[in-house]
Amino acid sequence: MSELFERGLANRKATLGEEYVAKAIEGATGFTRDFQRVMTEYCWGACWGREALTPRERSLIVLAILGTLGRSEEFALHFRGALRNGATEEDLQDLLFHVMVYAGVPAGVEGFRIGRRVLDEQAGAS
Amino acid sequence: MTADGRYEAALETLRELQGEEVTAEMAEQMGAISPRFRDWAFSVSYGEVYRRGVLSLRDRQLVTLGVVAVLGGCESQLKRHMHAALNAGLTPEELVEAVIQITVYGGAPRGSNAIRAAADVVRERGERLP
Repeated sequence: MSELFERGLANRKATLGEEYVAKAIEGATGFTRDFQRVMTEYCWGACWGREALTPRERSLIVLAILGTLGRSEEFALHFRGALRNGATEEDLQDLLFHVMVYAGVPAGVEGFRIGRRVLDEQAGAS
Repeated sequence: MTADGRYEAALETLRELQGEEVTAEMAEQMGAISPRFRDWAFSVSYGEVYRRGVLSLRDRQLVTLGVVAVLGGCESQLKRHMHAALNAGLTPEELVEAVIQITVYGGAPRGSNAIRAAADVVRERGERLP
């Protein structure tokens, strides 16, 4: 595997968690295997982990985008990722108010619905 | 102008983000279109949401840039928010990094529009994008 892939894999695990990433890589099929490799290089190797912006700041941008585009499953994944990267519950509350005003109330409602579910799950698991 | 003072609070936030001159210009332009809409819109965004006080203005601008850039069709608002991001302390280098993140998550065409907007904004300030 390339150096870019290895670096990407480490960045991806740091944000999304060891378990989720291992499952995605090991569970890859003939159809998804090459996608997993290229996506890990392109997104996590060549974008995340670059200098100038912190992982926390990158998480804030990504959550704003996913909330705006309505990518609900990915939003839940990155909501956990943002917390892992040092954003607080209150930070994400504030973020979702911006999503509400700039992307529209339904996007804010959906974001709060998913965020609440993630926080409830985490509270239940600990 | 508003009974609850939120419009005045909004102008205060806007001055911090855009400076005195641009704030006056924005209030005047929107007022010429509809003062009723301006007062309502400024109050809820800059008078309420922007003043919740947990995220820094710099963080708020990163979030807003993410939203506005991927909505598309809002290039003038995108540029205004890029100016605000730079006023809130983002460097041109960091602006490019934000656009890289936007490109990967929002798609290449939105990213391509956003980097052009960023170049225009930075040029207006007498600098160049790295």
